[in-house]
Amino acid sequence: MAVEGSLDLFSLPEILQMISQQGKTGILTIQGQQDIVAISFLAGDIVAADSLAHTVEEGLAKLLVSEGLLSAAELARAGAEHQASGGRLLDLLVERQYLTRPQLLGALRLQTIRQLEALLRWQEGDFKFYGGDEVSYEEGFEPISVEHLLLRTLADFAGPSPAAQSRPPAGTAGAAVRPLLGTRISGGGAGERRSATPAKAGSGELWLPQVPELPELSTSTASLGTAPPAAFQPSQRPSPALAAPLPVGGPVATATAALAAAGAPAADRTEPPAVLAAPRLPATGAAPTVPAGGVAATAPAGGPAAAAGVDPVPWPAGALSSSPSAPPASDPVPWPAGVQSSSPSSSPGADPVPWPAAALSHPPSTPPARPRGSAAGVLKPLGASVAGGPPMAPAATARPGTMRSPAGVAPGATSAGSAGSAGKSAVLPAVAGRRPSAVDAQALPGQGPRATAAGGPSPDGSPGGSLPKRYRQMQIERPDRLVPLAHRAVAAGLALAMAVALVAAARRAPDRVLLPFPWEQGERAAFERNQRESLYDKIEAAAKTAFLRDGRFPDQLGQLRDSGLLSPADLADPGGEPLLYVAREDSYTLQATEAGRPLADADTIGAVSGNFLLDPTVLQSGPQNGPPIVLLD
Amino acid sequence: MLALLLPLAPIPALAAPILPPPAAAEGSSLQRGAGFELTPVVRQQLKRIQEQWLQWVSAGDRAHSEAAVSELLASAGQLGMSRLPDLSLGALAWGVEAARRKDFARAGWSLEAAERLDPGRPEVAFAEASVAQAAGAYPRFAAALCRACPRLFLLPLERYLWLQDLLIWSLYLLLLTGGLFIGALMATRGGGLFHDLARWFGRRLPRGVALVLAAAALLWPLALPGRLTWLLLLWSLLLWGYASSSERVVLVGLWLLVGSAPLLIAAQERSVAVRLSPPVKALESLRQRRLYGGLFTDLGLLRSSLPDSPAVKQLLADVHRILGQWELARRLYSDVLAAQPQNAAAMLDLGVYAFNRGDTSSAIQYFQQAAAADPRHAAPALFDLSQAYNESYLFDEAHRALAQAKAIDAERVDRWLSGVEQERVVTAGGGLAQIPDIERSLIGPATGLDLVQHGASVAVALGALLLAVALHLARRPYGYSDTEWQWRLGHRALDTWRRVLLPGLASAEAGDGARAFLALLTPVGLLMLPWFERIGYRIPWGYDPGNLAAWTLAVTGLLLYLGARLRWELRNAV
Repeated sequence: MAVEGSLDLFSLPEILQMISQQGKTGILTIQGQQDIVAISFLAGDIVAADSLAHTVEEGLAKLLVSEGLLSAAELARAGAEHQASGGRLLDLLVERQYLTRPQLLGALRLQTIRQLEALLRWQEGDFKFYGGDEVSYEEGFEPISVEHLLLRTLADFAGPSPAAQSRPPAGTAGAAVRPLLGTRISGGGAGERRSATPAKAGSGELWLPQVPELPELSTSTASLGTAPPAAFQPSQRPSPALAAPLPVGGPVATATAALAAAGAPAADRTEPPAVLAAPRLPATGAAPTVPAGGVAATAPAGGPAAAAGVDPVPWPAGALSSSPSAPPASDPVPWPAGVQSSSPSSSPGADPVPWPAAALSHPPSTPPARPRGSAAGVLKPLGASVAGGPPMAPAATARPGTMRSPAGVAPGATSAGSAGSAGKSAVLPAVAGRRPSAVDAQALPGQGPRATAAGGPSPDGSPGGSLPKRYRQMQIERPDRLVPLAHRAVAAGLALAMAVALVAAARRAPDRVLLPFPWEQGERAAFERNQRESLYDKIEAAAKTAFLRDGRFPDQLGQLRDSGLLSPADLADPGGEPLLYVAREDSYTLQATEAGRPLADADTIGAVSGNFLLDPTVLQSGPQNGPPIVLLD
Repeated sequence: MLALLLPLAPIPALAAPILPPPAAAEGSSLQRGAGFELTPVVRQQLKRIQEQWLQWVSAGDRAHSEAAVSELLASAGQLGMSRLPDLSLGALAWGVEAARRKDFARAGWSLEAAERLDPGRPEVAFAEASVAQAAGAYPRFAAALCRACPRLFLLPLERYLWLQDLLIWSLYLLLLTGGLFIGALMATRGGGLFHDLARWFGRRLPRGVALVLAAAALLWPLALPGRLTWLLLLWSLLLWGYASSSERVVLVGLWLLVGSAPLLIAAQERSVAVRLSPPVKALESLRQRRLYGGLFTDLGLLRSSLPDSPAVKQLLADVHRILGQWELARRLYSDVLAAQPQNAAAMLDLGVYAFNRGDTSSAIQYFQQAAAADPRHAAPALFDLSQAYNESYLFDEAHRALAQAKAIDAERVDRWLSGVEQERVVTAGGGLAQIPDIERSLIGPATGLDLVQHGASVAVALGALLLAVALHLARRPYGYSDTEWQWRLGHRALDTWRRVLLPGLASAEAGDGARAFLALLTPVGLLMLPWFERIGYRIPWGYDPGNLAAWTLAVTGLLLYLGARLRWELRNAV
């Protein structure tokens, strides 16, 4: 099964989050204007990323040099050896001891992260996810969590990226506010793929809610960008991005929305500082200090977030500031020293995505435990209790290999009639049909009415009831709709046989192609008659030319072909049957045949009579010539 | 306007101060040259052409050949003709035969003669290429081929038939590609269709029976008379629901094409039948002043075909006039004028006849009537009137008439004045100008029955569209099986070659109907190039150039196409 669509409709963070939440294994391809990137997922985590324009080895080589793990000379030597020996450059680097295997894996992971970070800046393109049972990736590669990638990207978008420079129009404030139309999940009939008309129950269709609007999240993250960057900036390399405003509605907002929608622990206290500065830190640079409290203190008090009614504490500053639910590690932490000192294996609160120096010097051995801290007032984690409603939990996947929407399902609803029973009940309950985000389920403190309304409870919660138009219609696979290979083979065989028969029939009787219906028999006969007439005319011209040359008609029709006056195809009638030719002294007869027998009313006589160049008697004067002879053809 | 007037060729009869005695003297020795009356003078001229041809055949060198050809052309010119196509092809055949005997000198001047006897024929250039190839002169071979190709469209009948062949070939190509397109749809979406049919039958029947019935439901049209047609029509109807929007657009286009093709073919058939008929060939030859052996026989057939047509009579009168058979022309002009009293061209030509006979008073009357009857003939009529006044010593009237003629068309009047030594008066080619009307008369209008018959095909096309939509709406609530599928051959290289060598299938898998159709159209079109003429009508080339060029184009184009597909696949492989 494949899911595909356009980035206009689903933003990349949303797609990544969807795949991650459902623990999918497969390959996601994103085709942009300049490049095509394929991301491999293993149980929802990223295990590889490959680009059409830039190979992994290419990017890795650059990274190794830039990070100081290899000198340019060493790389050139390795390249030369690689050329000579063949095989993979990655293996050669380890075999020739340019790098240790853990170093290589760390560098590869970093390269993948950078590639993904660059990818998350894309705002246009098409995506397609190919589900599968397994994907190939570098052995020992530490899977990259989507959540942490998105968190990292949030900070990264504060950097001076080209995308960040151009602020999207206010009307596009966040991919979350865009109507999600046109996304296709294959598995349904072509006729309904893009239909917005609600289908009846039992038609195998799954209803997905519109993505809720998250203006508060967008604006709150935007306010982050306006925070004075001084306290964030590493001493050696200030990050101008932090001084620049974050693009509202760009990937940041989308990523935030996706995180929010997933109920992800968006505000891990230990992560944001590292993430914010990470992409630009030198490998061996002095560890910058990230005073979380300082960030909070420098955030504008009355920004757009405040105007929107959101918790005025900007994120991640708010997340970094002391909060009741925040983990204790909220003090300013020297970074990356802090990261280096707390390796993933030793510290569950450390960044699970190792940073260059740390990653290369201390590559992760086991996946770190993901902290589940929550940012109070901004995001609620998945499964958290929602005021006034049941606790939300990720909906069960319908069945392996089936893509579903990131729907939150009330625990009590998962056992009966939910998405888990795909094939029996295609329409999810109203609660399950909503996005699993706390923000769209219930109005969080400070949230406006729009956020609540967009994903609010369905007016019709019954599975068989009609659904409001704000729900998109998608289809899921149903076992009885999966076409067995044998049926496909039968159809393909029929098609092949038909094509062969068609070509053969078209070759044998072209008039049957032009005039195929039974009642067109008369037209076919007239068409064939004209074809034969033109052929006879051509033969007559050739025969009379031969008469001018030889003083007689040729004994056989083939002689005209041999002298170039006819082509070989002219010796047969339009149906491909050979012509019967009989020559006499001053005339000849041509007769079309069918199965070797002369065809009635399909003969012609060519004669020299009436042709003053061939027949001298035409010009003889005198009464002995008798009455005029009119040749009626 | 210019086409209506044909300056008289230097016909001996006209060169004589007084025409031979009409009617009685001429009629006694008339012979109907197989349906068309010829005077002894014309017969003698034709005999002379026969003899001169024999002289050319017996010519042993280039000089004799050139002399004989000059005499042939002069004799034809005296009959008002400028080309001898049959003799040109005869000389060509002699040249090719000489080349086979390795007599390249004779081949050379034979082909030169062929070119002079009927300039611009493509066959001569193709024969030159053939002779050059036999002689090993490959630059000349290439040059001759280059010269031949543009000539292919110079001859009217050949050009006409080529265009009709192009129409048939295009229809054939589109329909054949359409059939293959439905096959591609069946290969990619037919699995879902078959599965749904089997599922539907399987609700009440055992699985094995359901499968058999599903197959039967897809194949039952094979039992009908027009097997493949109905089969494709049925499949296109059933696959409509599984098709994407672009594929549905292609299907609708195909149905409409199937419905409208009979109309096009029927209209073409009538036209082609007439164009291939001997009378129309004679008309075309007259228009181009080509004198071929059967010209007079074919003109006789024309008169038999439309015996009462004033247009045909006027045309035949013009032919007689061109041949110098003025008395025969006068009778026909008089018949035309009796049927069409306001026919200014006939009046003008009768005035010329009277003028040439010295009957200036009758000539003045005819010219005055012609000038008044039709403004299109006013200028020549007034010019001829001025000449007639001059003959009658009425110089003031002559000046006045000439001034009036100049006021209407000064340029042509000046041209006539400059040639007045050869032709004192000008004639009107009223009959020759009516050749298109005569052709239309021969074709005739379409009958009502034809329209009913062809309307049935259009109705089938529209019915197919309605049926497909209705069927889709009826069964849409029950859903369609998944048809998204890509055939995999298990190896990437094999899959790449599958996409390269089976054009249209990959696009059909992706649901891109237009691309699938175009991907099929290109190779099918290239493969059909060598059958261009065989599908339609044979073009009566006097020397067949063969199919080498078409095969070369087809093979080269196919290789380039497949190469481009392979390149695209390799560049865009993910």
